[in-house]
This record gives sequence, C-alpha cells and structure tokens, in this order.
Amino acid sequence: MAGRRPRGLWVFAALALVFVYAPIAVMVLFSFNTTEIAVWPMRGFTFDWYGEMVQSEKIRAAFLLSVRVALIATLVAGVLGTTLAYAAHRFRFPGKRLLQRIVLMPLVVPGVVTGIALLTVFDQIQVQLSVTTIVLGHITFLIAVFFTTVFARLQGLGTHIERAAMDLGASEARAFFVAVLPNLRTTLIGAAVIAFTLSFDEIAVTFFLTGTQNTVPMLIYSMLRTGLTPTVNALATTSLLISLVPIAVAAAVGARIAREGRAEVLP
Amino acid sequence: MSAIDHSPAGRLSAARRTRRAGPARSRTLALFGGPGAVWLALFILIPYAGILVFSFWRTDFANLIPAFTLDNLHRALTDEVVRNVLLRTLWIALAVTAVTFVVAFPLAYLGAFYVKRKRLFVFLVVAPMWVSYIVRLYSWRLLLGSDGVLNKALIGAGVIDHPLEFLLFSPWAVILTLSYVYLPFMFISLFSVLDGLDKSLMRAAGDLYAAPARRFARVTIPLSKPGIAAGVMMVFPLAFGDYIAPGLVGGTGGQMFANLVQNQFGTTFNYPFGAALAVVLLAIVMAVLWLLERWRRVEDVRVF
Amino acid sequence: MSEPLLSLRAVVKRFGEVDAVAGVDLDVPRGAFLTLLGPSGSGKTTCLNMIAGFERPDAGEIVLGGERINELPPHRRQLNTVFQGYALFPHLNVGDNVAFGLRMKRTPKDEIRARVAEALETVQMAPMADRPVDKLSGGQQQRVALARALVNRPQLVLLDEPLSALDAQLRKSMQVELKRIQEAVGLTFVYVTHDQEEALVMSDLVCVMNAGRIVQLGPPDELYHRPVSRFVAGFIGRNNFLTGDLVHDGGRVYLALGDGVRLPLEDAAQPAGPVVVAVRPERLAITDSAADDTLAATVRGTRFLGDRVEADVELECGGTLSLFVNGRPVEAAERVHVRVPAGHCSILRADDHGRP
Repeated sequence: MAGRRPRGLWVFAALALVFVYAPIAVMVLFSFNTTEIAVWPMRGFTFDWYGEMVQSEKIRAAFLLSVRVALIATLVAGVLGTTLAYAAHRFRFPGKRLLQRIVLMPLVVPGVVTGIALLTVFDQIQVQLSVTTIVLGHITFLIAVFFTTVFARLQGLGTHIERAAMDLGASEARAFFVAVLPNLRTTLIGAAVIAFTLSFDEIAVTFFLTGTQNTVPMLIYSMLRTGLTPTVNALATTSLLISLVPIAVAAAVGARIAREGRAEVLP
Repeated sequence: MSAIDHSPAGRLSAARRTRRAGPARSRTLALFGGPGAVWLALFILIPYAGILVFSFWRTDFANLIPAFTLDNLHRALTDEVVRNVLLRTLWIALAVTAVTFVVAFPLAYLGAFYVKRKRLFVFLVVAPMWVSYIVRLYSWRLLLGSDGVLNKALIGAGVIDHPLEFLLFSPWAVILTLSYVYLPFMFISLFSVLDGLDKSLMRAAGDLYAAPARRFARVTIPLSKPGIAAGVMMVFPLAFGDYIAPGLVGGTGGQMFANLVQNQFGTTFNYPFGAALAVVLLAIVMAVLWLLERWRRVEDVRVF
Repeated sequence: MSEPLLSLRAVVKRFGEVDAVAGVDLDVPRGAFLTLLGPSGSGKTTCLNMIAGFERPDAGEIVLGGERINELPPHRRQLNTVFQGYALFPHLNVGDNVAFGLRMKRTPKDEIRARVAEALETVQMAPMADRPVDKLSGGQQQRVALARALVNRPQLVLLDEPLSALDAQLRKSMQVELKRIQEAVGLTFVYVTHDQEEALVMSDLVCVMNAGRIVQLGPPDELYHRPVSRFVAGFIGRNNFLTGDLVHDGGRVYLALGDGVRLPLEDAAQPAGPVVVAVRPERLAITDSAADDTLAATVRGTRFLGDRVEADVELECGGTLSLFVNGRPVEAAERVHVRVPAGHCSILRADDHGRP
C-alpha cells in the first residue's frame, strides 16, 4: 500500500483518540476538584473526595460485594464453561449444535431481556433477590465467555494429545486433567480476567437481580439518579484504576501468547 | 520384556473391565457436559421460555394469573406510545451503528494498512472498553451537563450565551454516549478483517488500472464485508437493547424500547406486558441478526 | 510359528453408509514389522484406530495376546502408539513426555528415571531430556514420540504414518533407524503408510489394503515380484501392463495382443480368457533382432535419470511400455525390439477390481 501518506487519516485518528480519552480525562480531573459541583474550569486540587469515598460505609460494602460476586461467578462459570466446552469438543452427542447456540444466548440477547427473564423465574419460585441471585445471573452469562474461549483453544489443540494420553494409560476423564488442562492455562487466565471484569462492571442484568445490597456499578447508577457529589468522580476514577489491572494482565498474557506463537514458527 | 498378566485372574479382570468399558464413555460425557447442561437448562432455557409464557398471562394488581391471552402482544404491537418509542429506538440504534462505523472504519483502515506499531494502536483504541460501562457513561454526563465542560467552553468562547440544554437529556446525547461506549466493538470487528486482508489483492487491483478510489470501493469494501457484518451484528443489538444510557442521559425524549420493558418490571409491575415487550424486542434483534447473517453469507462479492 | 500376537477376525467398521473396513482378517506374528499399506480411504488408519481402541469395530473381533480387546478402552491396552504429527504434550519437556506413560501407571520414581534414560538412549536423544518439545526439529520430535511408546515396554507398537511430516532425506534415514530400533528392542511393530517405498524398505510383512479390504499380504519381495492383482502390481513399484487374451496352443501359453501378435508366457495352469500381464520396466530389454519373446516398437522418447536412462516405446500392436536402456543408446523415432521375459510376467485377471 505504498503511495501517498494518508495525512487526513492520521488527523482523523488523532481527533478520534481525543474523543475516546477526553471524557475519561475530565472525570479524573474533576475527582481532584475542590468545588462541590462539576464546574469548569477547576478551582483547586484536593484529595477530599477520595477520603470521603474511603470512609463511606456504603461504598466499601458495594466494593466488597462486587469483588465477592465477581470472584465466585468467575470461579463457578470457569468450571462449568470449561467442562462444557470440553464435552462439546471431545464428544458427539445429539443436540450439540443446539447447545452451542444456547450457551451463547446471554451474550446475544440484550441484558434487559436476560435480566427480566431471570427476575420473573426467581419471582415465580419466590426466591428473594439477594447476592445469590446476582451471582446466579453473572454465572449464566460468564459461562459463555469461558465456553467460547476454551472451545476455540481446544479446537486449535485438536484431539491428538488426549488420544496420546489415553494411549499411554490415562483414562478418558484423567486424560483431560493430565494432558489437556495444563495446555489451557494461558487461555483460562485470559478468560478469567475478561470474566472478572465483565462481572465487576455488569449492570444491565444486575439491575433486575439486585436486592438490598448494591454492586459498585449499581451504586454509581443510583448516585447518578439521586444526586451527584464529587465522591462519584472519586469512585469512578478508582473503578477506572481497578479496570487497568485486567488491561495490564491482558497485555502481559497477550505478549506471552505472541511470544509462544513466535516460538512455534521458529525452526 | 513383556509385562502382561497372563494369569487367569488377570484375564478375568480384563474381561470384567471389558464389559464396563461401554458405559464409560457416556459417563465421561455426563461428567463433563452434565453440570453445564443442567445449568443452561435452569438459567437460560427455562427463563427465556418463561418470558414467552408470561407474555400470554394476565395480571391483577401485580399478581400474575396464568392464562392464554393475546392482549399483551396485541398492545405491544399496536399501542401508540409503544410504536413511537419503537421507531425512536430503531433510528437511535441505526444512528449509533452508523456513527461507530464511520468513526471505526478509518481507524481500522489506518491501523491495518499504515500503522507500524499495530498492537499499540489497537490497544489505544480498544483500552477504554475495559473501563466500566457506567463510568464511561458518567464521564459524558460531566462533559454534556448544563454546567459541563462543553457548555462552559462554548460560552467562554462566545459562541453561545446560554448553556445548550439539548446536549444532555436528549436522543442526541443517547446516540453520542452509546456510540462512544460501543465504538471498540465495531473497531475490533473491522480491524481484524482488514488486517487479515491479503494486501497483494489491493496491489493487484492497482496493477489492473484501478484508481485508489475505485480500488477502495470495488475491492477493499467488498472484501471487508465480513467485518462490517460482524461489527453491525455486535453494535446494533447492544444499542437496540440498551436502557441504562437512555435512562441516564436520554431525558423523557430519549427513552428507548428497553426502558419500556424495564418500567413494567420496575415501576408499573405489569410483568406480562413487560414480557410481551421483551418478546417483541428479542424478535426484532433476532430478525436483524438473521438478515445480517444472510447478507454476510452471500458469496456474490461483485468487483466489476 | 507360534500363536500370533495380534489377530483381526472378520473386522468390520462402518461410518454411516460407508464400510471403512469391510471384513479384515489379519494375523500379526510376534516380533514382526508389519506394514498396512494402501491409498487414503483404504481403511488402514481405521484398522489402526480399532487396534489402539479409538474406534470400536461393528463386527468381528480383535485379539491381542490371546485376549479379545474389542471393548477395552485405549488406556487399558498393552500397546502404545506413535501418532501422526507425534502428539507430544506441549506443556511437558522431552523427559516428562517420555515418562508420561510410566507415571500414569504409578511406576516408582527411580525406575522411571532409569527407563526414561534408557529409552532416550535407544533413540539417541539422551542429551535432550530437559528440552521443551517445541524447540525440537521434526526428526527429534519423531524420536521422542518413539521413545515415549517404547519406554512402556508394550506388547505392540502402532505407528501411524510417523514419517509423513519429515522431508525426503530425513525420511530415508529415519526408515533405516526405525528398522534398527525395532530389531534392537525386539517388539512387534504395526506401521501404517501410503508410501510403498517406505513399506518395502522396513517391513517383514506388507499388508496391502484397498477399499476396506486386504488385497495381498506377504513379504515385500513377494509383493513386488508376484502381485496377485492389477491393483497391487500398479501400487507397488512401477509396472507396465499388457492387455490381451490368454490362449493355449500345443501345451504352451500365449498372450494374444492386437494384429495377431503372440507373446509366450510361462504359467500353463491359467485358464484361457482376457488377462492383464504386468512386467517391471527393469525386466524389459531392447534387442536388435526380433525373436519369439520380443515385440516390435518405436522409441517415443528418453529420459536421463542419472544412474540410468529410461525410454518410452510404442508397441506396433498397440500400447506403450517404459523400460531402462542399459545397452547401446537409443534415439527417438528409432525402431527397436523389446524382449519381454516370460519368467518375469505376472498374469492377472482382467476383471479384477483390486481383490485377489
């Protein structure tokens, strides 16, 4: 594609990146602003809102709840999604194609539908909305994350290594643990990071399944509806910092995958 | 060298194992597939089927009454308010899809064909996707509010005298924020296809006397069809089914279809009508996905 | 000969409507190097999968060491496989790959160490024990895969086209190496390949398969010199085919070709009728004068192959032959006589479809 340098495209890209980062940057700046209301230009610099955030019982509870929900949901969905992906990869059985479509439904169907669907079922069997219902909802859509990533990796691995393991004396189930699972490590780390972040940030489904306790996104949502204080800026900025962790992990894992990929190409 | 057990006991146990070997395979399948399958049945199949069933039920002061009535679906399809919101939702979702495409395509094109450090470029564009949805939404409220950065800047520059109220709490605000939130999805879809394109095809088109503009229209665009389809298939349903963004920045004139659904469960407690609305919403999303899937599969990539 | 180590009896495997294996009877003697040879789709790999336990026969039985193993799952069979593409475990190094089978059987640690070292020694990979497998060359991976099978001291080693991923030169040297190792460890090898040259070089017995059936089973020289069907004659080595009628005349047998040309043959027991006669290029010779056992022909072209010259000739009675020129050089368009030695002609029924 030699030829003219696309100067127009570069200018466009620069503007687009401003569009992408400006709102976030403004939010971060405001979290250090001294005045109560978000007025431009900023008046002064303060950490007060962060202090207020740390002291807020409500925010601390929401944070702990979000972490708990994300950890449990990621763990359970990881086990269910991985084993299901292995079953779909390894065996032929009736209804397999249907199953592969059903797993993905929560990713395709808008969150509002999934949310009310689960809500009505819980309502009908008279289950009180609580942390448990949030976790159940999160597991349901996180299974899809693990299923798709693990299934893709398994298809790439092929079935020859579990055949080799069985040939060398491992039973069918044991072959999975000794030969296949170790080769899923990088994939599972990546999927777990995605799953944790999705759960931590989820709001569309969570909205309908939340009882009396709020997750962090639900708390921000309710603060936005009731009245803004700059504490929200601090909370949102903190939430942003937490989001940077998976970005870093994803970058590291990505680099590792790239390195391993290169190693395969080298003689 | 042989380590085989030729004793009668060894043979007998081998024979017994032989008989058990048959069900072992299905046992392994049940072990791996069973728990996940049960979960899918309980928390996906039953709830989604439940929505369909509930849409035929009646309600009596927040009590659900099993019945078979088409009233809910009828109302969902004919009600004046519902229809207006549906049309608004359609054009908002289409506008969001269009905006993300118009912004993402040049970026993806630049990234695929001109940028040297591709990984860094992709990372820069996509990284905000990892930032919480609600945080990104909130950041726009700061920008667009009547005391927000944008209004202050415009007043300061003397462009306007009074804050522009339509910046926030309007369909425009919804389109803007949703486009912002879903841009990375469109970008990834387009970039992965454009980056995978055989660059020699473009050169071949140039070699065959196609001017750059023609080359772009007749080769690049048709070849990136799968990416366009994938991007639209992601962004349109997400935008169409969103209710958080319109709830926070849409105001009364920016409410979308999913907000109607939400209201039946959050404020009016008319579950059957809400279920009927959800069925309509889902039907529209599925229809769009189906159409796009068909469009994507059409092999007819006409070049001339 | 003692009881065979492995027997397939009337084994059938269907995939949908297709009979991938359509009734195979095969005995593999203890200590033999037996090759299942055939084109793709001939059923050889399906046979191997049934022996290894990855497919279950629909009919018939498979007997290993006197025991019926039809339903025995792969991990309980006293055999090990060298897979196509090796199937080494990417997460384990060379030593751990080789030790895998012993660990599955909970062999004591000291014994594992000793046997792994011994197995790596056998395949000449001892210094590589700590290497990750993805850093190995194709030939080295091949050796590790073999060591991983041998270390378990199985009754039987199955090899599924193990050399197909290697380049031609390495393949040649690995053929010799494999045969050496097999003789050294004294194990029974069942080897699957579509490469007839490979089969001839290594095997004690070659089992030619086509369309799910065994076409011919025998030592390599027997298959080469006495093919029982046109399929075998064409599949193994190069061959010329002459089509005509077998006629008896005064106690002698002839092949009647076109234009009243008759070629003497040897096997008088064959009944008269349409036949195909196969004769190897190296058995034909160009002579200056006509004789009973020569056919008149015109040279169409010659090819220089380094150690010899190959010529294509067109017979005056119809048909073409390929042969090697070892006497005086010939030129294109030259008229010659080709001697077809009756003792080296294989008479095959014209209507055979790959079956004996």
